[in-house]
Amino acid sequence: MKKMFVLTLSLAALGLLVSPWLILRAPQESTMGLVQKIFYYHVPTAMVDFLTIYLCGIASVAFLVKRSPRADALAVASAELAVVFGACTLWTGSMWARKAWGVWWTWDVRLTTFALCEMVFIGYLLVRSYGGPGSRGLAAALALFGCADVPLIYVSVSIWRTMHPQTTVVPNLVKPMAVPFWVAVFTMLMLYLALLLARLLHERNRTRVDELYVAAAEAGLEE
Amino acid sequence: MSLLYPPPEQGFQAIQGAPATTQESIPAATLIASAYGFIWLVVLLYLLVIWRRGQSTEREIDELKRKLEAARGGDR
Repeated sequence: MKKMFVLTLSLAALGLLVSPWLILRAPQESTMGLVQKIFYYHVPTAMVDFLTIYLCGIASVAFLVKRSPRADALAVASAELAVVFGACTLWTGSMWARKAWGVWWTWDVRLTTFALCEMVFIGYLLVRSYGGPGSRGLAAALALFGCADVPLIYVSVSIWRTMHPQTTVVPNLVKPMAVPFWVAVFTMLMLYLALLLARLLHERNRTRVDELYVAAAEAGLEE
Repeated sequence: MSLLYPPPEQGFQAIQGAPATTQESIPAATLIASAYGFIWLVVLLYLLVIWRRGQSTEREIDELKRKLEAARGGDR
């Protein structure tokens, strides 16, 4: 796991060095101009956010069914990263909105459903931290609500009248814009994997601590 | 003088659009730098948090191991 962490972190660092250069070289968009370049990191952070939310959902179901500690570790690591990448998506979106729409925030359906999802995962972490006994199961159920929100976020721009760009933007990118975009997606994916592995390594150590406490209690050292 | 300052009873006067002299504009480059900088900041902070948690957990493991070894040594 440590080797994978070093590999993914190195690839992410390389991507973070190369992708800004590619993004700067990409052509400017006709109506938005320079500010459109926020899109190259805004959309990949959202994509990775959806990925980690679903991973959290799958791990939460596994935990609810099997009560597996490994599934629980994966769920909490994914939930933390959902908050991290969700915050990045909201922030970058807000910077874009300020220039494109003239406001930092508006109660547009895409933005509102995304903010709701972010709050669900903040709630997940709060429940786990302060919920007391049984909070893991409660948080796992909460994660499923977060997962249910993701398809709603995705289709919101097609169903309701919204100011947010449509989902057809990415498939219709011209090649000089598509290359930096997919490099940025790869970079975010590597960054996500590196952070997930780092978090899972920490969770493995926490499990070791729990085992040692049990051993210490059996030896009459700890209550 | 009366042409420069409107009489007080008139209050604010509405116009269409915004007067060119007061139009607010944040440069796009500032917004881009803020967007990218935020991602860097959040990722670095998260790595720092994980690293600090890891340090604390490793100290806890070492301490528990030491106590257990001492207890086992005492039993013999």
